[in-house]
Amino acid sequence: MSNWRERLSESVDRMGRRKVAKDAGISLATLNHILRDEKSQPTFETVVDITHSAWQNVGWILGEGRYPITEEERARMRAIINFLDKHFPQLDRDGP
Amino acid sequence: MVTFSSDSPQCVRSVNWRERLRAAVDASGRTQNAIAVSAGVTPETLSRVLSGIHVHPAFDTVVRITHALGENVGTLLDEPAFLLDAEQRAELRRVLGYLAAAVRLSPAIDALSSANAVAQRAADVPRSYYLRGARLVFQAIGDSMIEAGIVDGDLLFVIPTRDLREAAKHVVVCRVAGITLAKELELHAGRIRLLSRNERYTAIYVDEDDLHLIGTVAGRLGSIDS
Repeated sequence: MSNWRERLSESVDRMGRRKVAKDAGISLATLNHILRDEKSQPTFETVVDITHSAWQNVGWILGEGRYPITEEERARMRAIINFLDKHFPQLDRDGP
Repeated sequence: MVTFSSDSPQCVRSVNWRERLRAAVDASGRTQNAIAVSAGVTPETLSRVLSGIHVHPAFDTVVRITHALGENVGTLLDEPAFLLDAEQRAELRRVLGYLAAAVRLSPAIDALSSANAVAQRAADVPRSYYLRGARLVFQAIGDSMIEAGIVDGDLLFVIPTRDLREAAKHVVVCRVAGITLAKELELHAGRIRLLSRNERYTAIYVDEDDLHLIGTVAGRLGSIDS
């Protein structure tokens, strides 16, 4: 649990702090404080909102054993599926 | 509960994580006191979190309680997930990366399927082209460059270069998605455009990272010339 701020920071920075703060309904200063100050005690829902606004999963930022699919990965998979559907319509999608 | 809209990447949240947490406490068969000790919180705090009296508990508090129950916060929030080990995760990431790259290249691959290729040949470079810097020989396949005077079977003498600006507006030999092509290269609106000289063939757009420039064509020698 100790490095969730680090993982969250990486995800937030990929999206842009200002955008994530806006989507999460908090100020940029609050977001910076939560990400920077290890002694801060943000509420559960605030961290969940920030994480989901960064298209990330709380399970992932906590390094939990199960592997949550991020929204970025879902978007990539959807693009791949659309591509395969378009170019290989004859494929048996249910597999052998 | 966390749900993910199928159309939007944004998450839509309707919270019932507390119900899931209460269910996990019940399913554990442990007393709240024992769970509180494991989580490092007071029994009062645990009780207030579960009952909802503590409306906005700290993130770390909920995580500690959840983990003390042997549960995942991801499960608590109903986040979609696979049960994969580290090696499987790495494999999935590699597959995703590979497929995403293939999809990104798909317009070029579409065009390449109808484009004509060239093949490298071991042959001497005529002196006049050698003096201009030509060191490589390729053989044209097909008729995509017919209006540039290049026909099927022609030998192309190539001056090696990797400089895109130097090669712009010239007929080049390059490799895209593993296929070697002779095309006219244009730099167009920040992208690379590979043009055929036959109206039956469409232009191929590629990113700089996806193109391996081999060189510019200094001249040709066809069967009728030899």
